[in-house]
Amino acid sequence: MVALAFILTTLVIPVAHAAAETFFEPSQATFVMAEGDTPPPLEPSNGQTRSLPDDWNATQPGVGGDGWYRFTLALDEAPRTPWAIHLRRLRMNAAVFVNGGFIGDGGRFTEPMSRNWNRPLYFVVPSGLLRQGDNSIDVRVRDSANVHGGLYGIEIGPHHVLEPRYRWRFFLKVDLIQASMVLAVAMGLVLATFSLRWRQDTTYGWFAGTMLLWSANSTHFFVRDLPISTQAWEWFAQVGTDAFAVLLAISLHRFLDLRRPRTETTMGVYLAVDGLVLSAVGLDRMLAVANILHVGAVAVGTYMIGTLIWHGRRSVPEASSVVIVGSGIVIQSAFGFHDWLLQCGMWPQDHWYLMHYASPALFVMLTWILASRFVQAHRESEALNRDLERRVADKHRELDESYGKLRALEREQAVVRERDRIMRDLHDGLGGHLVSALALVEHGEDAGAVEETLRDALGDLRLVIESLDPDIDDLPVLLGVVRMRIEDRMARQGIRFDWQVKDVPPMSGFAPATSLQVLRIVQEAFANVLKHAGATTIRVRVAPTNGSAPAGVCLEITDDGKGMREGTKGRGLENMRRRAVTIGGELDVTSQIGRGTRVRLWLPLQLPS
Amino acid sequence: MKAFPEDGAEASEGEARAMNAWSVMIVEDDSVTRQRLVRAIKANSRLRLFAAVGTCAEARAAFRNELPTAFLVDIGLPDGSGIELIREVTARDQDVDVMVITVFGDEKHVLSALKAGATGYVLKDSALRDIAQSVVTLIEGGSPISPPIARHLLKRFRQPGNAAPVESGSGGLTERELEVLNLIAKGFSYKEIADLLSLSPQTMPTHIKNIYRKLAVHSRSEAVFEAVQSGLVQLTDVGTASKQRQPA
Repeated sequence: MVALAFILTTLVIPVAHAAAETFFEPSQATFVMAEGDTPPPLEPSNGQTRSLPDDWNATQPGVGGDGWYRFTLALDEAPRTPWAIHLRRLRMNAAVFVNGGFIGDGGRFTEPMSRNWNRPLYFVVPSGLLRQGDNSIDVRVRDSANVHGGLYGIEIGPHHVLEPRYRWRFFLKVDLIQASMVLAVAMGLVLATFSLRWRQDTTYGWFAGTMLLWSANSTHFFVRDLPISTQAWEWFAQVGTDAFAVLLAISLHRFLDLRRPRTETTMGVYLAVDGLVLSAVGLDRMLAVANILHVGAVAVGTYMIGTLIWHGRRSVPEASSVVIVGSGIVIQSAFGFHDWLLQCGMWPQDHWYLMHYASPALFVMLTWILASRFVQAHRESEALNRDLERRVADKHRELDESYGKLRALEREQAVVRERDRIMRDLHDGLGGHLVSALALVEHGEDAGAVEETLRDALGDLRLVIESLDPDIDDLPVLLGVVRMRIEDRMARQGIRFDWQVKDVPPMSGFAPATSLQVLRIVQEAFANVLKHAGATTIRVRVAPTNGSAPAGVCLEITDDGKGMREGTKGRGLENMRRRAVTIGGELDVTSQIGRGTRVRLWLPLQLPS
Repeated sequence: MKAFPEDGAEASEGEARAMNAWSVMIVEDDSVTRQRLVRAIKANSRLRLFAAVGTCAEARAAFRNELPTAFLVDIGLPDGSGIELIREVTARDQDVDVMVITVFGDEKHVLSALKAGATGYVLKDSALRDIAQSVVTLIEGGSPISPPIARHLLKRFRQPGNAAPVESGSGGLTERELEVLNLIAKGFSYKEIADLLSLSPQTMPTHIKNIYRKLAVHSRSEAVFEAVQSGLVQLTDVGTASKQRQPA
């Protein structure tokens, strides 16, 4: 932008300034067709008078070759400052002679000839060549027939006056197109990258191809020296323009998500015909045939505009997209239509070809397409994310609810199980004792037996209640409780306790059910000592077991009484063993006659709950 | 723990009064049990019966003018809670000994009574002789305790997260007291504890009673603390509290 402004200021102002100074713009010349590299002798008598701009299609249809224009310049005095000659517009190539001296040309005159049809030529006249009086300036032009050859404009004047004009023209005709080509290549590469990374959408690929073809076509405007023959180059130029229209139309299909295979095949066929026909025609007839074939491209352009209007009416949400894209294609097609008409000869040939100045519209259009796709994809992704988050949140809630219900259910079940357990225990323990007491009373047994039964009943009930006490949560407390209740009776029988209860590691899972079983085991062991052992000391020892496999606690109740025969099995001992197994422990009883009895209970640190 | 078995022969009321026996009031709604308790008291020469009532109202009437040395209270009374009664009595006179009658000696009954100010408990079905002896021991300065109660007290006094801040010395337990509780919780007898800690076994019950007293104080200050926290009570001067009018 800044560069453009700079260029405008440095050129426009000098041009405006220079407009005050004059230069010559001859409108008539003497013309003759002649071979050779040097100006032929040329008099008004043996040459025609031609007025500029001179289009050979008009002044000599069907004739091509070397043409010489002679201009006579009368100067009052020899120029003091350098002068220059500015050829505004020609077709292929020109050479300029001043007073017989060669001062420059526009490139090759042999095949493939240099192409200066869109390039102004400028030659500085060496000082001293121009003299006071008449000066003859010869311009040699070589063109094929029927290619709108000729000379369209010449300016002769001071260098400082003409050069800005030349520079400005050059900028508009060549520099701008080159810049436009660079942009088109860049855009094409960007789109190509998109298409390679996002293969699902062929839109980008087609647009990339369109832009790259477009930039290839642009070279037609400023490439001067051809790598291939003029005929081949012209073929590319003409077919390329049609191909561009077709590619743009297919890209439009993809952009609008239209499936029209038949239309696309038709366009492909048209291109094939286009190419074949033009390759069979000679250079002198190529333009004329191409003009007819270009009707197809014009039709494609019209078709594109029609499609856009129809699509825009049907899908309103995309209206802005359609408008932008539509404008791009309309401008492109309008300029293309103009160029076609120009090529057909509607206007004088020094009018400008406009199609490649329409590229900014194309760029805007394509940038819009890319941007809107990007935004759409972004929005979709955000919407999907939100949706996903919402669904995850919903699922979380669902899960929380089901967990809550599960936990409530588990709690209920736990309560029911516990009630069940207590009920069973009361039924078996207390219930049994009371029924026995009742039976004793019914049979009129003595109060002593009934009292004992009732005391047992109370004792058992106490046991159950104690097992539910949350403060009885490990072995030492439990042992203490049982000792306390039996202490007096032990003392009355003369049995003393040897209490070796140390701290044990915390045991997990000491639930009421476990407490009750352990209480019963210990109670039974103590009661056995009280009733049967005839002992004097009962040693109670608790210690952790280290070493061999799972960690646990060992309780030993040893008495020094009369012992039992080895292998004695009593129901009481069996019950104790069974109870131990229920809570994941082990119980063994060792006894020898005269050596006392040892009851050993092992419990794991992690009790089963 | 009843440490001193004593011979309890029936003594006449006159003899008892003459020996300056301690007065005991019985509050028990079940008449059979009440009779039994009366017999127990009368059988012990160190004790005399102050009154034997069956309801809170009768109890209040009985001790309106004069408090006995000790109470035997059942918690479940028809016209109110024994706990309330205990609180009233100990508020009036801290030195009164209150013994709670309980069937199981379980935490719920004993501890709430202890927190209210009771200093002992006795099992309902104990032998008459043992009941009377426990009362005597209590008045003489010793309280009974069981391993679960000791365990509960340990938890209570050791937990850092108590509602009311416990100042060591006034409300907290001494190291010695904590050790005693620890060993009781493990089932050791008073004699064994005395041997292990180089104490005299006779002082054990006294230690227990002190601990119960601290528990009662602790509970009371806890209750005040909570009341202040919830805005029901306002501390106007240092040491006094007044009831705030309840928000409507």
